[in-house]
Amino acid sequence: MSMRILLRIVLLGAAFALATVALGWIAVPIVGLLWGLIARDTQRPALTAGAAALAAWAILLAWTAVVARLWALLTRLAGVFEFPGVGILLVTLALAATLAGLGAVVGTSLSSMFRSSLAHSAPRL
Amino acid sequence: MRNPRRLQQSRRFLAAALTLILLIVGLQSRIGPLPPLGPLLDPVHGVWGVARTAVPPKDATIEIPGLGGPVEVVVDSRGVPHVFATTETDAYRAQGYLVARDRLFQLDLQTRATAGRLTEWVGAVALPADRAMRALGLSEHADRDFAALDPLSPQALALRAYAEGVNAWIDRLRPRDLPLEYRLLDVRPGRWRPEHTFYLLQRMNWTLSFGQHTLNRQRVAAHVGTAAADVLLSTRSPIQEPVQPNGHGAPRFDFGPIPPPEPSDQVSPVPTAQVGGPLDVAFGSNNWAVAPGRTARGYAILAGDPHLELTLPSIWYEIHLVVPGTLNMYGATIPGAPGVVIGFNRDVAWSFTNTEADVMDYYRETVDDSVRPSATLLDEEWQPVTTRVEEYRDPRGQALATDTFFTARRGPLRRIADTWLSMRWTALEPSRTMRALHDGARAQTIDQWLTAMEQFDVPPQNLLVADRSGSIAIRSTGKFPLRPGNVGGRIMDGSTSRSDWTGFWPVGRMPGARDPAQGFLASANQQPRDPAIDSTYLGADWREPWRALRINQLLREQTGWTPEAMARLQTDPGSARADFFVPFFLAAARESPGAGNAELQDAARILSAWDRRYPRESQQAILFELAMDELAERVWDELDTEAGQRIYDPSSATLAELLADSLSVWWDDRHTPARETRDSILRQSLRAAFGIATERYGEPDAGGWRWDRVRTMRIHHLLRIPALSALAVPNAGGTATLSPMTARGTHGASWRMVVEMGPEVRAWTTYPGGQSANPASAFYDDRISQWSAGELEAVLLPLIPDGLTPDVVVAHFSMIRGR
Repeated sequence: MSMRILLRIVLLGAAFALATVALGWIAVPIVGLLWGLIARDTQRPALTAGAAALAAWAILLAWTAVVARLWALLTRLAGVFEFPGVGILLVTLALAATLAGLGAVVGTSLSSMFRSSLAHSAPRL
Repeated sequence: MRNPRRLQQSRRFLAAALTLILLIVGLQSRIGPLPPLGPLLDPVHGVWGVARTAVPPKDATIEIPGLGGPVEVVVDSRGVPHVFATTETDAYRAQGYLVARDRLFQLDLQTRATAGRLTEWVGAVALPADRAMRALGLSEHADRDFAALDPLSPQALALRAYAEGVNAWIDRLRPRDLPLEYRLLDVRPGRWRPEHTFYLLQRMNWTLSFGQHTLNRQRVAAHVGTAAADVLLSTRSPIQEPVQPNGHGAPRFDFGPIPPPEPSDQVSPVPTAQVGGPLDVAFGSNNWAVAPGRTARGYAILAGDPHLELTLPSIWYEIHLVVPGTLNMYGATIPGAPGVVIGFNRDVAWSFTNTEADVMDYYRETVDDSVRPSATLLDEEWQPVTTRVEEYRDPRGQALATDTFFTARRGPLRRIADTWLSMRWTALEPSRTMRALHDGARAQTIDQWLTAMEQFDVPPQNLLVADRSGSIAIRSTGKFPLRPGNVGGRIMDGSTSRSDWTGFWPVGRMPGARDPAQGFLASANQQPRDPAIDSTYLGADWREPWRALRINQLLREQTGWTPEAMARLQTDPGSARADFFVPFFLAAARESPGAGNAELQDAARILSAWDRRYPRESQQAILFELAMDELAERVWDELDTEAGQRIYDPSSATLAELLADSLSVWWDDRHTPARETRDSILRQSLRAAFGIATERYGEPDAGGWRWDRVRTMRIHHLLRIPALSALAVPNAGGTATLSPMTARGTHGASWRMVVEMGPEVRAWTTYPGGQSANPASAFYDDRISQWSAGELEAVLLPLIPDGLTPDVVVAHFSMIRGR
């Protein structure tokens, strides 16, 4: 992975984290969509968005684990949902990645359509 | 012709957009029992916030609207807040805030349950419970009680301040801080109103004084005749060890014959299922106090442990409230009520047990319309009936059902079978109990406390008190109706005012004692006063006296009591019930030593080696409890319907009474042609118990017969979620031991307290749960193991906010006036 891609993921991850803090989970597909709109020409924008969102949520959860009783809660939740605690964590992270990735796909598709439409309607010289 | 690339782009966009939209909608929706997963799994605003709120800030300044002055709160290492305020209302305001912080969902749930509005959270599954509550109109009566308070009275001010504290917490509650249960149900907290405290008291009234005696008696009389019913549900306990010492210095066995079952001479039975009421489980409590002359250090000692449903979070919350020069009280409060309910101050300690008095009567009414009555007949005149229409809604606000309820002059009017019955119940009449608790907490002497408690109307309680001067006292207190003809337990003729209560017992006549010669006082829900001393009707079908026998026996035998010994007594595994019944089983087995009785002799051998205690490893307790079940099953077959359903289970005290009459027809098993006697039924029961135990748990010596494998306490979460419950908590107790444990295992000692009233008050407490309702908190269930082991912890009683050493302080809050 190049430094450029890594830097992209870090910055995008920060955007996902800030958006989640400010607006909640619903911000993840929005940021992903915005990313898709502007990153059409980058390599695998959906994958980048998914990885960045996953990293962002993982860091937010890791912070919770440091300052709070995350593992105690996870043990209880595992019992409540009759689902392994690690599985709940993985579902949470997968959710972030999926929402961000899908948002990015929508963004890139929209961007492509828009550009294609512009190119089609531009007057020929 | 369309551009294929654009077409592909469009398709890709549509597919991705549609998938994303469907995913977002799905994540916002409830799927089956699952709450919306998007908001739930959000790492900042979702369920993970529960982990963050489980760790309170070590130091914080909190703004609370309405505070008159600064309040300091120190939370100790047991999770107990010590509140230091300059005024009482500020103390209650802080208390409301702290209780809401730790128990908000519990507050909300209890209020909704009393108001009959659970369907709005959980849907039709709660409809029966909501209907039962709304039929009684408990919330309306609570609203009325609050409205009747003088708005400037100390109680009204306390309730308002408390509500402001609760709402201050709710107002600062961010979505990310919502307790887990709200997230699972996908609901939000409601505002707390001052009258909601009365809702809790009404719920407690329902739990402790909603009696089934009259209707049970009616059904039994219809089945086996009035004479038998009068003994099976007797107004006198056959074993007398009353709350008010009767001077015998020993139990008095008042056994007589039980009249044989006879064909019914009564009207059709009333099915209990149509009446509604608390589950038939062993509610009960213990309390006792020992005078200085019988204690090691020469100070009075008081102990109390109310037995209620055990839940997580617990029904109790431990708190210390200090207003210098005015108030210094410590104890257990019901979340939602200001002050403490059971506890102590610097001068007086108190605890309650349920009196089990009959404070409810039914009246057969003559109505003008058998379907929708608008009037009932009284003394030849029609009295108006009011109508109330109640609608039940589901979480989406859609109507689930509608009921019309009627209220007659005496109280709720309901059609049961073909009869219109009205009900009069003291809990539905104005109550001064709040004022009693408020005033009692300020008492400095027993006299002041007892005077304050004269206002304790409902639910009737055996009020035990000890003070620093060394005095001890007990009084069965409540609004005890005076009935015409001194008769209770009957459905009265509602068409005449001659059936009405003629008043209430004056305080001076209530059962009680002060500083008795025996040097101790005790109550365990037994009959309060020996009917040989006063036979005025107070109730019937009293709780079994075994715990009272055991407590009195141990308190009589010993002197030099210490608080530690008192604490051990609260979990004493001995059983007066086993002491009484085991010899009868063994004697019956001895009479039949012949061949073919190997199982019986094995059972007798096991039982004869038993010390009649219920430690966790007990083998014999299993056999004895099974034998008692089998015995009751066989003896009371006359109380079975043709379909085999038992209409009523007489108490084991009645069974004890029957043992004195070995040839009673009640011993006969109707299903066999032979005529059984007491001993043959005892043998059958013991043999059957041994067979069942062997089948279930293996051979006696194979290791499977262990009491704590067979019976444990089941402490359910309020929503009955197993993962948030403690469902296998060992308890060294049995059906009738001091720390009781019935087969259901859901009820037991909900709070244990020992207080030594020396120059400096010392106290020890615990309860089966923890201070916090947050399942991620270290204080969620931290006391359960301690409770299970029968251990109490010394409470900390700082006089000033800095009075605790830093190692026992987990948090410190400065509360200041906010907007």
